Amino acid sequence: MLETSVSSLLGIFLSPHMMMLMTMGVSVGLFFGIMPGLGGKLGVIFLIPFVFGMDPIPGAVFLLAMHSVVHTSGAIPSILFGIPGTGPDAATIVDGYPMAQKGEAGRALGATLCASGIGGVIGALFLSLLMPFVGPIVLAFSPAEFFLLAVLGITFIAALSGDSLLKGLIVGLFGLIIATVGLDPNSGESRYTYGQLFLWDGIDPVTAVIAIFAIPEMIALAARGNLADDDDAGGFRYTMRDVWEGCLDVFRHWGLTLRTSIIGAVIGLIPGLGGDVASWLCYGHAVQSSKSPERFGKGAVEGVIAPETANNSKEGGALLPTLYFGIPGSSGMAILLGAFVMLGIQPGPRLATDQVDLVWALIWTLAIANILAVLLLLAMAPWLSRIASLRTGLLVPFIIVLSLLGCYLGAGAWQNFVLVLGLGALGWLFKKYDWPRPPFVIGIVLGPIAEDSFHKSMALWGPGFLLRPLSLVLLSIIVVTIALYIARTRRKAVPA
Amino acid sequence: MTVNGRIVTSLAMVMLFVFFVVQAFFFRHEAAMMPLLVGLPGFILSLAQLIVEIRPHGGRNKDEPIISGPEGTIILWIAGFTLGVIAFGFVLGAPLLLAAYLYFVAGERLSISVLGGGLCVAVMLGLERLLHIPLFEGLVIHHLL
Repeated sequence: MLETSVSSLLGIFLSPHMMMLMTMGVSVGLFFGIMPGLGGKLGVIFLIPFVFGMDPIPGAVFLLAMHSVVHTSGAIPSILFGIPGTGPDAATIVDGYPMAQKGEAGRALGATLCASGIGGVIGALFLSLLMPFVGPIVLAFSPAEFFLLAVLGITFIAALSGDSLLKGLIVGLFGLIIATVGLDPNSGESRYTYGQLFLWDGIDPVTAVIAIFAIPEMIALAARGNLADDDDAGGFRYTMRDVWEGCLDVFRHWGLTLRTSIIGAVIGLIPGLGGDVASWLCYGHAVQSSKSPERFGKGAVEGVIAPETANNSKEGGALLPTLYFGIPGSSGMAILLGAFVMLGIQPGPRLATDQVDLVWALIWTLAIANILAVLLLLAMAPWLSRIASLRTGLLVPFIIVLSLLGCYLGAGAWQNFVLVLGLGALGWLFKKYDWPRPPFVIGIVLGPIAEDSFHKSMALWGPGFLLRPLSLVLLSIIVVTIALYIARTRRKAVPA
Repeated sequence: MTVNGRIVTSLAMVMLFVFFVVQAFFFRHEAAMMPLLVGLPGFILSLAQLIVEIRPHGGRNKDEPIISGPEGTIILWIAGFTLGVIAFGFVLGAPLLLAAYLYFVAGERLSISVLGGGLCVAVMLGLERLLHIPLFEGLVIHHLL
C-alpha cells in the first residue's frame, strides 16, 4: 500500500500535466467559493464539459481539486461582507464579520486561510489512515447489504438534509424510479423509453443533476442580483502583516485546530450531515472549550478557526463513503460522484482492490489542493476585498451555456435539453417549496446498484436476504434513523 | 395567477408516481419489480404529503404567485437558451443568446455584450478544434447543411 501511495504522489508531483490540472481546478474552485450563490456543486457542473474524454485519474483529480477548496475561499465574503459564500461558511460570519468590523479583517482572513488549509490536509490524512481498514469491510458486503446500504443512504440523507423526512424520502424514491428508465438489466425489456433511443441507456445522471440542482440555483442567482453594492467594496483595509498574524493564531490554538479537524472529518464520514453540521458543531465546540466564551460572537479568532478547519477536513471523510459504498457524504459529493461515473469511475468495493492508485491519487489531491489554495489566496490577499465589484449578471449566461454543454456531453443526445427543462422545473419547485434535493441525486446514482443488488439477493436468498445478520444491522440503523427523526420532530413541536 | 405552490408540488409528485406505477403494470414481472418496489411507496408517501399540504397550516398555505417577476425573466431566458441551442447549436446559438442576455437583461454595454459572445465562440471553437469535443450543431443548421 505504501508503494502505491508514494507512486501516486510522484505521479502527481512529477507530472506537469497533473500539476497544471490541479492548479486550474484549485483556481476555479476558489472563484466558485468566493462568489456567493455559486459553490462547489455549480463548480463541478461548470467543469464537466472540460473533463469530457479525459482519463479517469486526471479528470477526477481536476474535479476534486476544484471541489475541495470551495470552502477555503467561501469564508472570504463571510468575513468581508457578512455574506456566506456557501451554506457551511455561515458559521464563520458569527465571529469573522465582527473581527472585520473592529479592524481585524486581515487577521480573520489569515486565520481562515491557514485553518482551511490545515483542516484539508488533516482530512486527507484521516482518509489515508482509514484506508487499510475499509477495504476488508467493503469486501465483506454481499449484494443484500449493498441494496440495504442504498436504502440507508436515502433514509440518512432524507432525514438530515431538510426539515421533512417525508419530502426527503419522496424525492429519494423519485431519484430511484428515474434510474429505472431504460433497458432492464435482467430481462432487456425497455422501460419508460417510448421508442426514444436516447433513453435506452437510462436518463443520464449528469443531465438529471444539472436540471435538479444547477437550473434552480441559476434562477435564484439571477433573481438575487449582485453580491454587494459597489460602495461596500474594499470597505475594510488590512495589511499582509495582519494576515500573517491570523495565520499564527491557528498555530497558537493548535489543540482546537486539531480537534475540530478530526471532528469535521468524522462528520464527513456520515452521509447527509454535510458541511453545515460540521461547521456549526465545531463552532459550538470552540465556544464550550473556551475559557472565555463571552468573547464569541464579538470577534473571537477561535470562532473563525473552528468552522473553517471542519469545513475543509470533512471533505476527506466524505470521500470514503462516496468512493467505496457509492453513498455520497454530501450533496456536493453526490454531484462529484455523478461526474466520476461519467469519467468511467464506478464507485463500489472494486475500488478497494482494482483502483487503489486512483483512491490514493484522490487523497493526495485533497492534501495538495488545500495547500495550493492557501498559497494562492495568500498571494492574492491584498486584493480580496475587490470581489464585491464582480457582477453576477455576467456569470449567469455563461453558466447556463456550460450547463447545457454538460448535459449534451454527458450522453451525446440533444433530447437531453428537453429533459433539462422538465426536470429543471421540478427542481425549481423543490427549491422554492423546501423539498430537499440531495436525496434525488443519491437515488439516481445508487438506483442501478440497488436494482442489481436486489435482483442478485432475491436470486441467492429470496426474501430471506433481509434476515441475514448484517442486513438486520442495516435495517436496525434505518429504523433507528427514522425513530430519531420522529423523536426530534416531536421535541421541536412541544412548546418549551 | 396565484395558486398554492406547495400543493402544486405535492400534486406533481403524486401524478408522477401514478404515471410510473401504472406504466410498470404493463412490464413483464422481472422488469416491473423495481419500479413497483419504489413507485408504490413513493405514491403512498407523496399522497400523504399532499394531504399534509391541503390541511390548514395557520397561514403557511396561502395562495401566492408561483413565479415572481425576476424569476419569470430568467426562466424564460433559460427556455430561450435551450431552444436556441436546439435550433442553432453551441457555436452559433449559444453566443448569440449570451450576448443578447448580457445586453438586454444584465444591462451591460454593447461592447461588453459582444465581447461576451465572442468569448463564448472562442470557448466553443476551442473545445471543438483543440480538444476534439463534438458539439451539437443545431437542428436548423443540420437541416440547412
